[in-house]
This record gives sequence, C-alpha cells and structure tokens, in this order.
Amino acid sequence: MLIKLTGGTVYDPMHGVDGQVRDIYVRDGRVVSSPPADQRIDEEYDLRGKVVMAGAIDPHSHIGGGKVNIARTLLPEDHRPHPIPRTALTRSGTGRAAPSSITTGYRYAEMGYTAVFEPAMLPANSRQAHMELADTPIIDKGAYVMLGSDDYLLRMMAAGKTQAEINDYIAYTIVAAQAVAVKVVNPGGISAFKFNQRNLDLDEKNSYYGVTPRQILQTLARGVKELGIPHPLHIHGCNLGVPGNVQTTLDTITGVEGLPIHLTHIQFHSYGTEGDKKFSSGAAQIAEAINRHKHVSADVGQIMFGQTVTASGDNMAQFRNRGFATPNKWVCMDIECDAGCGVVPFRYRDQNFVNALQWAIGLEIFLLVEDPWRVFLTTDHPNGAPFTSYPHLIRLLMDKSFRDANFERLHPEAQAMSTLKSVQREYSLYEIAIMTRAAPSRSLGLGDRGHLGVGAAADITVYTPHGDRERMFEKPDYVFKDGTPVARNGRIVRVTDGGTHTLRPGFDKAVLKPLRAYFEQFHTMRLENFCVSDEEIVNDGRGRIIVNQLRAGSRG
Amino acid sequence: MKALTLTLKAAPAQRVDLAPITPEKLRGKKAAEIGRIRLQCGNRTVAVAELFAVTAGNCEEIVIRRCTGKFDNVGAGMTCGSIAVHGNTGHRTGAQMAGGTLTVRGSTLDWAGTGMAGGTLVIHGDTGRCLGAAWPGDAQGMRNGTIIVCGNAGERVGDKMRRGAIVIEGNAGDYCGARMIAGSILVCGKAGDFIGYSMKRGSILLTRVPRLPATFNDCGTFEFGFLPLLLRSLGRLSHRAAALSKRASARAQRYAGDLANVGKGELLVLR
Ligand SMILES: [Zn+2]
Repeated sequence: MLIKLTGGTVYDPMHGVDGQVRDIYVRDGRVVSSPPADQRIDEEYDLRGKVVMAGAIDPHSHIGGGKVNIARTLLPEDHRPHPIPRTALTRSGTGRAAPSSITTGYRYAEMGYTAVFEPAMLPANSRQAHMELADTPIIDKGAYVMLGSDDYLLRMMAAGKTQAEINDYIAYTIVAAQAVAVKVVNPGGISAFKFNQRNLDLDEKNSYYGVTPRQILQTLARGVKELGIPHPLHIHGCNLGVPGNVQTTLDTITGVEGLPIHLTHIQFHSYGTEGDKKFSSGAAQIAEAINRHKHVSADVGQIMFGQTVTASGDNMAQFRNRGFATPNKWVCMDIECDAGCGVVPFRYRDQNFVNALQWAIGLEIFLLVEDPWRVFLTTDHPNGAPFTSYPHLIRLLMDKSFRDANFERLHPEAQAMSTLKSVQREYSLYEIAIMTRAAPSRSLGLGDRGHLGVGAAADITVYTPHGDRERMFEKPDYVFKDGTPVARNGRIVRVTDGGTHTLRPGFDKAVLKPLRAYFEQFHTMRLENFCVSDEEIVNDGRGRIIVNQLRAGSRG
Repeated sequence: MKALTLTLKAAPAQRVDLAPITPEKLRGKKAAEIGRIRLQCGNRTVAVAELFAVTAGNCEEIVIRRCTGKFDNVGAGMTCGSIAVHGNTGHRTGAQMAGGTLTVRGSTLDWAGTGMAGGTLVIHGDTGRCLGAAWPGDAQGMRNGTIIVCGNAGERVGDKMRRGAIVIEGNAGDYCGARMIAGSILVCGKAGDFIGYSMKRGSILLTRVPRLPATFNDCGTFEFGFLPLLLRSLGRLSHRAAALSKRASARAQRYAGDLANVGKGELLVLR
C-alpha cells in the first residue's frame, strides 16, 4: 500500500528541513523515497497549506506503574465527575489528572503524540508497569528503570564493588525490567527516608549505607555511559521543591565529571531563596549552566494552574509536601525496598505566590535555554499538570503577547520576582518540532522515530496552521501511526496497538549468582519471576518489542 | 397547589436512575417538559412519560407512586422541598442529599443516605447495607442530617459517618458504626457483631448490651445530661425514640472504644 502525502509544509529538524513544501511517500508503515512516476498511488492526502511533523514524543510522563494506580485509587474526585463514555470505536474510561490507561492512549494520539515514556518504573513493579502500558493503545511506549535507592545497589556501593560489577547489575536490571533508560530519583534519599533522614544533600551520607548522592550519581552516570545506553542518566535530583535547591542542581551539573546527564522536571529544582518570602527564581543560573555544559540536557516539568495529582518515587519530597495536599489526603510508602512512592493531590493557583512563581520559572527555563535540542517539553504529567495542557504550553512558548497576558494575571509579588516579561523569545515551529520530536528521539536513541527521512517509521502528524497555536496543536488534522491513520481532526478513527522500546545491553552472567542468593534471602519473589519476558509484552501479537541500538563503542 | 405526582405505569425491565427527579432540578418546569426528561434505563435512556403518568403540581413537593426497587438514586442530591415515595426504592436512595425531606413508604436497597450532607430521610420499611455510609473511595460517610428507619437495617450502618443522627427502630446488622468519625446512631432493637469496629469518636445508643468487641472497655454507669435532649429531638421523627425519651432515665452504661483506633467513641446502653 503506497500512500502519498502531497504538498505539506514539512518540519523535520533531524534532516534540517525547516518549513519546506514536500511530498512524503509511505509504504507499509515506513517513509520511502519518491517512487517512479508510473507507480500507482493507493491513497493520497492533499496536505497543501498544512504543517507536517513527525509524531510527537513525550520523554517523561507518568502513565504506568504502581504510583499512577495509587493516584487513581486515592482520587475518586478525579474520575467520578469525568466519565468518558465508550464509542463504537473507543472504550470507556475516566479521569483527567490520572486518566485510565486506555483513555491516556487515545488522548495522546488525538494530540499527535505517537510515543510516550514512563520515567519511573521500579524494577519490582516492572511487570505491572508493562501490563498497564500494554493497556495504553495506539502509542509506542517505553519505561526508565529506577535505580539509586535500591537496597542491592547501595549494598554493592557500600561494599566497594567495582564499576564493572555494578555495570553488570545495571545491564541485568535493564534487561530484566525491559527498560529503555535508567532513572535515579533523589539518589539514595528514598532509602535514607526509611532511616529517618528527612533531607539528603548532594554530599550527605545515607546514614545506613554511608553512600552519598554524588557517588550514586557518578556511579550510575558512568555505568549508563559505559554500557552504551543511548539516553543519559535520567536524574530527578536531590532537594526537589526546596527553596535554595538551585545550588544543589548546579553542583549536580558540575559534579558528574562531564558524564552525560539528563535533568528531569528541572523547574522543581531551580529555586532560590531571595526576596521577602525567601523563594525566588533560579532559572537564569540553571539556563546559563545548561547553555555552558553541553553534556547536560533537561526537561522542564512546567506547572499549569488547576487541579492535578503529584505522584513521585521521591517519598522524602512528597512527605515534605503532604501539608499542601488538596484534597487533604496523601500516600507515602516503601515498595519492596526497591524505592518508594508518594502521592499528594495538588491544586496550583495563580494567586498563590509560590505556584505563580513556579509557573514563571518553568517558562523562564524554556526561553533562556538556547539549544532546543537539550530542553524537552514536559509537564512531568501529572505532577506539574496533565499532559492534555501541552497545546496551551506550546502557545505560551510561541506567543509572547499571550504569555504576557497570562503573566499579568499572576500573584503581583510573583510578577515582581520574575524576569519573564523581559524575555522576547518566541519559539518557532521548527524549534517546537525539535523539542517535541527530534531531540527526544535522538536522546533516547529511537532510531527510526521522531523524523521523516527515508526509512523512518511513518508516525506523522498533520496540523492546520493557526494564529492560536493552542488550537493548532490541540486537534491535528491527521495522525498516522506506522502509516495507519489513527486520528482525524482530534478524534480517534482507528485503534491500534503500539510497541515497547527496549534495550539489550550485555552483562556477565556472573552477576546472577549473588543476585539469586539475594532474592532467595530477602525478596518476595524469585529472580526468575522478577524478569519480564518478551512473551508477556508481545502477548500473542497485541504488543511488540522494539530493541533499540546501543551507542557505538560500548561493550554491549 | 397540590403535589407533582409521578405514577408508575408499568415496572421497567432494567434499573432506572431517578436522580434527575428532585425539586430543584424540576423547578419551573411544566408537566410536559418533565415528561420529556430522559432517564438512564439499563444501557439506554427513556423519557419520564414513558414510565410514569405525570400529574402537574407543585415541584417543591413531589409524590412518586407505585415505585419499585428498580429505581436507584431516588432523591439523590436533593437540597430542598420534599419527595414522598409510595412503594420501594433501589440503591442510593437519598445519596448525597443536602436538604429537604425524603420519605419512603416502603423499603430500600443498599447505600441509602450515602454521603448525605443534610435534610431528613425517613424509611418506613427496611433498608439494605451501608445506610449513611461512605461511598467507596470517600473519606467520610454521612456528614449531616437525620435518617430514620422504622424497620431493620443491614450491615455497616453509618460506616465512616462524620456528623448527624441515624435511628434504627428495628435491628441493625453487623459492623454498625464501623469506622465512625463522629455523630450519633440509635439502635432500638438488636445490633449485630463487630459494633463500632474501628470507630474514632461518636456515640452508638443501644437498648441492650450487644456482643462487645474486645477493644471496648466498660466504663460503668453514668448520668448523661445530653441523653434526654437527644432522645426528645429524635422523638419528633421517631415513635420509638419518643417512647424511649419518656421511659429511659438519663442513665446509661458506657463502653469506650474502639481502643484499636482513637478510642474516643462510645457505646451507650440505655438503662
Ligand atoms: Zn516525573
């Protein structure tokens, strides 16, 4: 089947294509070069006057795993008033901040997203996470496995194991959990919380293992690099949400000896202590540091005003924030000594000084980081806001007058503390295409995704240009997933099943012996049951495993 | 002006959600308009007029005749006026009601008065499980108002109840007042096992000593100044409470608990 997409204005940053009118040909789910003139075209779409981009990729969105289910259970308020009836094509669901997994897949696809990554999968929870992702239709999925507060790694570090031995453990965990990257959350801090530590600074020791966050970051970042994992270590740093944490974040950037790192939801880590209320924006310093250090990338974790729920592995930060719970209920828990989990419902208000400044800080970072290849568009769904607010966020980035109008509605003292209004920058469509397509694809090593070159997977989104960018990005005209039209004018027209991105780094089988002994002695399951098999994900053809390439030069 | 009357024409085959029929939702509507309101019935909707004969009248005062246990959410969310039901009702009768008076001259199924925030619910027959209880996922059950049940009640009366009063003139099932946060429950007949299970505060008034959980402590017999006042006020709605207010002294045997939780609740056995 040969499809022709005729005359669209194409934005494909991976190939430097910035708004050129082109025809795109798709055969059997892939972009192909233009066929001979006598070739029969099976289907043609007239895209003259339309904007064409690759399908969008969300590199950080909590859409699976235990904590999302806890958020759903905790908040009947989120699903009772928001039922989503079934249609002839789609199934029913509920919820806005933590929607049903099925609804999540539909909403992402309707917005032109074709791949979404769950960033906080505990090894012990990976089976549940993958089952939930399997219930998320249309889009491709992938998950980052969480290490850094797990008992086994901390034991290894405390015992002075070599980097090579730790690398084997990291590689084994990636394979066993079917992950595509490694994340660390409050390195060592989730563990320290269980030993009654309520803060853990970069160079403070976990009181039980005697290991510092800096050591954990260095060990994991080095392991990720040496194993050839495409995505740098995905770091949710120390001191999330604490005024003054801008210094911790700057120290993290300079403290990893130039190893590649990705700082996630960096907005929550960019707070100073200036001003009467001892809370100020550290965005300028953070942006300046990112601009200077080319080994660092970040996603923002923009907040939006309204009701949401925060769900994080960082039980230390979530315990600190429990007083802000709206409605007033929260959960903090340990999970299998692997990590923890905290769920705190939250309502961000524009007339609250701190929330208003958080909003401004996020936008300042977006606009002050010069290189869109190293800053990705996220709201840390659902922590900063539900992912459905992305079109609104894109408009804030692309439209200064709209941004200023919103800014002027903020708490007046927050306005006085922000330089946002003096920032003239407006993102271009090309830059939006970089930060929502090309850059996440390149960073995650997705190969044939996030671009429209010959051989690329035909994940394609078509928009009608509109002065109101929110309207434009809310309801794309067409969304193609692997060449199949799945959405039209923001409505699902075909429900398909996406694949799961994974990696297969090599490891020395010697790692299994002590691990097996450890599982026998301490765990609630056996090592064999801990591994998620390919068959479980493939599930008689409903799912598909995509094995991505390791970075060249690694030992995989 | 006489009451707006809905008379059931034929029993529906599927369950019907009657939540749209409350005084405030019908206010200002003519009989024909009311007849056109769509009600969820199983997996489709039907018009009110298909099920009921509608007789025009004052919408503040609704009478539903020949009602059956197929009708759920009768009076749910009502805030004012009155609804009188002749016949039985289904689940969630008077759920989340915040004001007005709902009278069922028959029996109800489960979850009557769940999440109720005010008003008066009177059930002349029996009621099912979870009367005035917290809907699953909710932190609190009944938050205010008064419920009178002339017959018996099932399990979990007043589960997670926060405020208000419940009178059961007959017997109450197991787990009566379980996880109660505060409020008052009067059981004139027998109460089942696990009474006051995990209750934090609140009072459960009884006429005979129940099978006591191990985590309740006998505190002895005392004179309680509030008892005659409480019984007299409940006596305005309940004959049995009125009789008790005449007969009972202000003395009651007090059992404090549940000591496995906060333990500030009490079972008071009237003497
Ligand atoms: Zn996150």
